[in-house]
Amino acid sequence: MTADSTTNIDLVQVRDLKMYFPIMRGIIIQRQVAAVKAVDGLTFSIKKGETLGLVGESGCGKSTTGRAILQLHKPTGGEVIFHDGQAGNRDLTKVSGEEMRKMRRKVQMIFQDPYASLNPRMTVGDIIGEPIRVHNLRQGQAAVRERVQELLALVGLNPYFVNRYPHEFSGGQRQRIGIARALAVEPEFVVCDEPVSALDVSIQAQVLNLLEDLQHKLGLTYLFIAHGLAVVKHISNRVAVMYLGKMVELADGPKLYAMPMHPYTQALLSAVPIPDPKVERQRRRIILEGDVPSPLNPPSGCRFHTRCPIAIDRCKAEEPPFQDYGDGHFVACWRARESIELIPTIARQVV
Amino acid sequence: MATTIPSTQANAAPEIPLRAPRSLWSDAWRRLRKNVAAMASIIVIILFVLMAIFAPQLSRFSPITQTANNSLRQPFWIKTNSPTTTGLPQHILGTDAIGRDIFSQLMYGTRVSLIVGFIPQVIVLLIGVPIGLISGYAGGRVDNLLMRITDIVYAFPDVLFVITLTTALRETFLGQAFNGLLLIFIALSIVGWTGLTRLVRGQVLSLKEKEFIEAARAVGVPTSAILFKHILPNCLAPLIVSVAFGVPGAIIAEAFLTFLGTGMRPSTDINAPFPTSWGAMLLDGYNNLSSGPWYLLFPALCVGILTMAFTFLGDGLRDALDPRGQ
Amino acid sequence: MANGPLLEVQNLETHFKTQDGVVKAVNNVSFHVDRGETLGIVGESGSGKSVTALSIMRLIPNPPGKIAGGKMLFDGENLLDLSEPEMRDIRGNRISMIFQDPMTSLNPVLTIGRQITESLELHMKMTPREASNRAVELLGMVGIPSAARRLDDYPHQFSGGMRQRVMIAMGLSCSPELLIADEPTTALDVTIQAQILELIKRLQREIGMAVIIITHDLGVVAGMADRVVVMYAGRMVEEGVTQEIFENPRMPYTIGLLRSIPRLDESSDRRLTPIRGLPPDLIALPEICPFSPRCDYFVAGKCDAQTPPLRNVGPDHRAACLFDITLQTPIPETAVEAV
Repeated sequence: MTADSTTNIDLVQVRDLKMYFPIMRGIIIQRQVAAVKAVDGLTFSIKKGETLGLVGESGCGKSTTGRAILQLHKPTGGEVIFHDGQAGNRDLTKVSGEEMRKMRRKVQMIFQDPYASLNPRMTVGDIIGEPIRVHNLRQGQAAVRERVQELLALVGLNPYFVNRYPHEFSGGQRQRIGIARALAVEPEFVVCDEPVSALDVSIQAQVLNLLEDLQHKLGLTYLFIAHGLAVVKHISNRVAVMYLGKMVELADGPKLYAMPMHPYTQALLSAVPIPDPKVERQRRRIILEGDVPSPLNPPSGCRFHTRCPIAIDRCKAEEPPFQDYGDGHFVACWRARESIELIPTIARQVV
Repeated sequence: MATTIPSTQANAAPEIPLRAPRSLWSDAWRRLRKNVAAMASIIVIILFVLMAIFAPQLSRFSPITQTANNSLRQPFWIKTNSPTTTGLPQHILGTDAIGRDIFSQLMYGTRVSLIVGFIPQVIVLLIGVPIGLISGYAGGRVDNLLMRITDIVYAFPDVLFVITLTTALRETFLGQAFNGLLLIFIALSIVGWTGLTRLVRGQVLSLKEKEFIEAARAVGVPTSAILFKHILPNCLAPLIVSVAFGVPGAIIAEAFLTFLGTGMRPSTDINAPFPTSWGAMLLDGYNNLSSGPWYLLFPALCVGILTMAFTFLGDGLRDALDPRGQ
Repeated sequence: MANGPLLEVQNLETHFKTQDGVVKAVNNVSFHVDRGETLGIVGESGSGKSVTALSIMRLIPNPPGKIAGGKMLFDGENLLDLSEPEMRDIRGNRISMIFQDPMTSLNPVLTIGRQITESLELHMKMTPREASNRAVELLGMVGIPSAARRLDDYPHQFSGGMRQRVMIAMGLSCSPELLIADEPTTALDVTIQAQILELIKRLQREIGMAVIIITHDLGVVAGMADRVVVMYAGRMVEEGVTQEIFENPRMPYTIGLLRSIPRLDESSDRRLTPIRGLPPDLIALPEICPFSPRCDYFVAGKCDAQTPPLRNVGPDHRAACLFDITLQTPIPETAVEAV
């Protein structure tokens, strides 16, 4: 997937983003006793027109990151700088109330669950029309209805369906309705939170192609969050990997998959099944031991050290910085340079 | 065969059979229609409502007219030796201790029962729903505060409170209004909203985390619109069921209170819209039990039938509106 | 030990009665599993793959479903002829099943130890002490550390991957001859999935059991299965040795699937070729090729005149398509949407 970045500006810059969820205890008066550090200091940026993929396993904080950027959760710390065209850069964490409602025209989200993300008691026309009405983008019922039908056609649905209810559609169609809703406000930046994970395999390709086409047509910028590595690779320009609230690697798509430098990325890539029996029989897998630690009590130093096959003492004591190893390839690992040679010797053949 | 590959498949129009849109409400109605008990109950309730509205037309005698030499007549199918107490066709169900026609009293009594069933429910809805909505959606301190208040009200001994209130304020203006009915409404409402509030709050808590609410926030829908357009319509199902079950409770409460003497009092005003209630009839019937069980039996049957009708309806509604059926 | 396949399913029909009509969830399905081999059943939602597995175990809820026809020969014996007590003797003992979501398949109020030993005491007639020891052994076999201590833990105290291992331990407790794994790793993270699949493979070798793995993930099937059955709309549409199916698919549905999924090891420039349209409505499915409305190679008059039977298209390779279509067959320009 080639990027259409005719301009090289950063549309979204995330700096040291933190999202902690407090655990409260107490009967009458509640006090915070601990915190789930879902996102613990993320710094990255997304260029206008590109698709940044964000992968990781459950509990890594990728979905929370998407919501925190959109201010659906109020971040505990850090900044989210959005380039608002002529108005310059604005920190979304400092915008609130009416101003934030206006900003929501520019940044939108597509949700994972096509069944839960649509209000079952509203018609499709109402669901897609609501954003138009809320932001006064069209005057009068007729104009709104026309725009809704336009949007339905844009996502490949029959405009006749405005009066239908969500439960009358299939999963893939509901996802298209969700996409139409997000596009109704004409956004610049869209966070796609696992948009195809809940769909049948034969439908996933339809929706992925649709998202790509829309990106070309409307000049959208995507943050594509998913746990399906093959899917993310297909649609993204650059890919970031998260583990337990931290970003461990960020690089150009092809580069990340060909030359991953972080041990977790390597393990992750080796674990993904490939639909080719010959390849599968010959594969060497890096099998990680144990389970993901709890985000309530993350390990000291580098969070991955408890499961890392090449961890050394330094990894336990000090957290490695997230730094550029050349060409925009960021890694947070003390042994990044050596890992490429070391890991394959540990990977084992699984037959 | 040509060698072209189609460009994008995203524009394929999927086939949905062209029929009328089906909302969730119409689905629920279809399910309700299949429930025999519920449909029978609806008919029964409609009959009672008609009885209440057309009571003046349906009863031959005024419920408050006292006729001499006419007291304690038996229902018309019972013949006794005494000419004053034997059943007469025009007094189908007999007369009471001071000669008032029982059938007419039943007709007019229906009004009280239905009104007492509904109005407190409406008041409870008006109090309980907003509190539940705000408490559930706001969370945090607001939720805590509102819920503690709810707990306190809930902990009040209901019946004791109602009896105390109605007795204490009996002679005041409030107590006199509508023969004491207004006081009963207020009393029942004050103690009755807590259950509904908790119900609504529970619904809101579970809906709050649903993705379509998140989506509404992401789109920029203001909070008030989220509460009333998104959350409230999805709470309606258990609310409707709760109201359906609440009505029989109120009817029985009124009967009970009046029986104890603290509820409404029968009026002697010809033009009063609520001259008597089934509770008052129960009291009288109990006092005159020695003359026969009928005077106690008829209002008791009415209370029972109407209560059962609402209960079956509530059951049917709950099954029909059950989201698992979607 | 008899020769011949361990499990032979012939013309299985499983129907469900719904408000709107009869759904033929499994429609004339026949396949076999040899001892010690792994059969993969691939399909999407509504394909009937899970219902097939439940039918083999005779766990179809009746009403609304029932096994309407066919035979299921397990070691020569027709499972449909057995009485319920005899079937109970086989379930968990000679044929075992593990499910997708371990949280709902495990009883939350019983300890893990109890759930394992229950099966052991019942089928293997062990004493509680023997069963307890065997349970510890099993937990160790599936890779749960400090197994003895964890016998007294409840399901919610385990992580998702651990719970699935416990399910596997339960499933293997009586050393079954056949393990049916219904989407065992779909709910798990990719690194955990790799662990679990490796575990299943290892245990299969150690115990010498046959495995039916049901999944929608073609990658999992490529890595685990010796032979593959592809299901669509309740029917079998392709069957064969794994290598053959992936290199030389002959049913347009299989071809479409392979073309539409992104692969980790390919260039990301290839545009995905999706399968158009929607999965079919199983109610009142007419007697045509079930894939017709979505097939790029549909030919009017032929494909909608009959349900194509499974025919031999190669050595140990059958496909339900009237034509000889391969990955190389170009898509006709006049592709029309049918029905």
